[in-house]
Amino acid sequence: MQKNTSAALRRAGGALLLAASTLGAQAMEDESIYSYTRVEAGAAKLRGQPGSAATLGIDGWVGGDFNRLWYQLDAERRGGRTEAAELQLLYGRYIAPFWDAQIGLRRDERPGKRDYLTLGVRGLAPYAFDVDVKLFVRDDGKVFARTRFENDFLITNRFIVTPSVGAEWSASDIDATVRRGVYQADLGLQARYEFSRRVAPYLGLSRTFFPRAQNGGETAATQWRAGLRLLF
Amino acid sequence: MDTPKRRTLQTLAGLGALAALPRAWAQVRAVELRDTPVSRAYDLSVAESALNITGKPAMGITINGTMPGPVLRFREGDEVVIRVTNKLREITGIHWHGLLVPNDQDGVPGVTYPGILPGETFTYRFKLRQSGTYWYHSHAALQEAAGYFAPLIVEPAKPDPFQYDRDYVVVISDWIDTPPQQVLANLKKVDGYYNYRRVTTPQFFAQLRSAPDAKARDALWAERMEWAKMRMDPTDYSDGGDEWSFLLQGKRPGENWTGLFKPGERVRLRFVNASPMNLYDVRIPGLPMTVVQADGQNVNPVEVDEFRIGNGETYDVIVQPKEAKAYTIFVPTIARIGYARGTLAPEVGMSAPVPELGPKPVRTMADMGMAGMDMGGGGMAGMDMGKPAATAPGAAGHAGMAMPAPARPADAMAGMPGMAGMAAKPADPHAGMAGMGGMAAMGAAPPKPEPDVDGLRRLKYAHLRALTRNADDRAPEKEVLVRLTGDMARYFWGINDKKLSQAEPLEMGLGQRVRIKFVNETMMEHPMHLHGVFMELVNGNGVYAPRKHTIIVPPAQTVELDATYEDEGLWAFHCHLFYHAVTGMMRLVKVA
Repeated sequence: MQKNTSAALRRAGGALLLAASTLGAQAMEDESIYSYTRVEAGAAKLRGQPGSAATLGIDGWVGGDFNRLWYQLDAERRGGRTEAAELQLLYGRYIAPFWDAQIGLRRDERPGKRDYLTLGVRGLAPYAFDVDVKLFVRDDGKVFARTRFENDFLITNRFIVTPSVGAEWSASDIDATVRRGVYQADLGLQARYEFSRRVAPYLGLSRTFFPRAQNGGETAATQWRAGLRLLF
Repeated sequence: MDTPKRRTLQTLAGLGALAALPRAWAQVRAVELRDTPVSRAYDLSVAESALNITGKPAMGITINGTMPGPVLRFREGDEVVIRVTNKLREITGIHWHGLLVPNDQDGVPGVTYPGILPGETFTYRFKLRQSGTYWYHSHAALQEAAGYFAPLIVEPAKPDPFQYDRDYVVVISDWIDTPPQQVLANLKKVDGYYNYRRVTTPQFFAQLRSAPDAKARDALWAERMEWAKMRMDPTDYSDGGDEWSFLLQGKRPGENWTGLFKPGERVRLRFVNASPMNLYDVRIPGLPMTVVQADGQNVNPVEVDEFRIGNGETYDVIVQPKEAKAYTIFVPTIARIGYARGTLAPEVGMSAPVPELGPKPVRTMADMGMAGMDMGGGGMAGMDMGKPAATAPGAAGHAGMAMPAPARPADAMAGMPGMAGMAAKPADPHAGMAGMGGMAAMGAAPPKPEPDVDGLRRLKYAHLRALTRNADDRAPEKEVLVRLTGDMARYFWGINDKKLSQAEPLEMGLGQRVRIKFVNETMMEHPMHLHGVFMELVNGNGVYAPRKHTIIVPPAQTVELDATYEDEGLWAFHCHLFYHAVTGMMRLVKVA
């Protein structure tokens, strides 16, 4: 009798322990946290302008399969002065295979201090286009958008050429020289050689247009970029 | 340096080292199974150990200090005791792959028991209800992939119905110095992190140029566009790549594991695929193999030149080398990334040529069951796209048998995978006869393997026929649909669009006859393993259906099986590509 009771107790204890751990050790495994950070550090040179700028781009996420924290930093220094610095911190949710929806904040430190509410969609479109679409609502209520598409072409399995198209859009006139609409467009081509997935030097050429610029505004420019791309 | 060259150098270096150290030969001489006594009790100790597979020391997990661990040799009917001591810094658990044991002895931490805590010893105790070739491995996280596996042989109570003079265990595995958790972290970072075998743009244009006519060019172009549209890669036969080494009994190709024979002797080779990452094709050029067991179960002997072995599967073959020469056991991965290799020879030190790996395979839309593509065998299949003749078991060259695939556009996808556009076609010409499975004995013998275009006779699942009638000949009472799903780009996998952590256990009755229908909606092979039960593969052999514990479900295909759980409890089932299992392609079955 006593033996039966203790056996039953033991079984109950075992069941409890199991209940606590069932879907524990095994299931937790598929909910692990991972991360990805891409750093591109290098130099940029505008054609027809003396000197060059140091550039830093960081793009990454940390999280699980469905919920991620995305971060992005773009900065440019010229002559010891930071000329542009933009940081984005976004929560991303997996909404469909290949796609994340994002919401968060963008902060510009340079050229002027500005904050933006940011909504985004990021993913891989059919035909393997990387797509990054963002809508920004600035702290003064002005609305902007940015899109970027790129696609990898393998010359070899390590030598990869990436054409890209980018556009900046504004809902209102930016200033006296820039009207509303697609006020900036970029066409780019980057070539990189992946010594490994984690280390790849790159060389890029891009042409920037300012379709909405008025007299006295910015004119189209060509830029070279070179640097090192690292994955962490 | 390109890979083949590097491999050759590795091989040469290996051979050179062996020539310089004649004693080293002793290490690669195979130990015959009969030199391991049959026992009822074993003590196993699991620990982290420094292993040197690639020339650089790296940490692995060993059982009693070796990788693979020690072979356990038991006798059918015996009650056995295995004490496992965990010297790791994390929880562990050993699973007896293919053995029918009570649920609490099955060894899945967090599912069938809490697991073995660091420093603790767990005593397994169960009676052996079967005989054959099996194996055991960790079922905690990715420990198996660190080298934590070993063969387990159960000698039959009555002698096996075939003769042999020698008996060798041949465990195939793969290895990378990077710890498995880091491998997974890398796969999560970049889709195809280890895939440096993609078809490049210039290669594609070269294919276009060498196409015979405009129609062929259009077909190539359409194929390329279709893959791009689906955002998938046709070279995705393995998540691994060139950084892996492939091992036979833990030995690199250059070490040349050698099993000895005297000409005319019959040699039993017990192949086990313990690899966490790769499926393999096994052949011994010049030596036909007679398959006598699959997953430890006797089958009608069938003579073949090559068979595909999925992760977790075992095949026992008999070979009878008649000449006093060396034969190469050649075991390339199905992605043709590399190969494991051993030798059968009358004496140590002999070797035979190692075949060329051949071109890396590239999947076609026809493989994926895409509607609208030329399925007639002409167009795509005939193109030289580096695809070896159909080798998937069950994926016999019978495109004509494929059911018409519903033409859903690939981008109207539902669920996780982005694969819904691919229609599952039956993996087997007999799948259409599924309804007859279990009803009639189907007296006809299974189809004999016919030579493929390259002259090799390849084993297909349809060739497997149980030697004895299965006990349960009832028609299924219940059908369970198991869709294999996943998001390859994000590297997580699932069953019916859910990861293990998102899903409730499936429920099946004790003694209930269940038809399980696996539909692979991804583009990779998934060797599915059920714990606690044998699956009777519906392959046209009726009550002589082969009994298997692990079944390869090829991409975009359907595989059906019948199962009757006879032990209560919560049982696991999962893809035996361990990286798929831990990222979600696993489910529990509650049997009550």
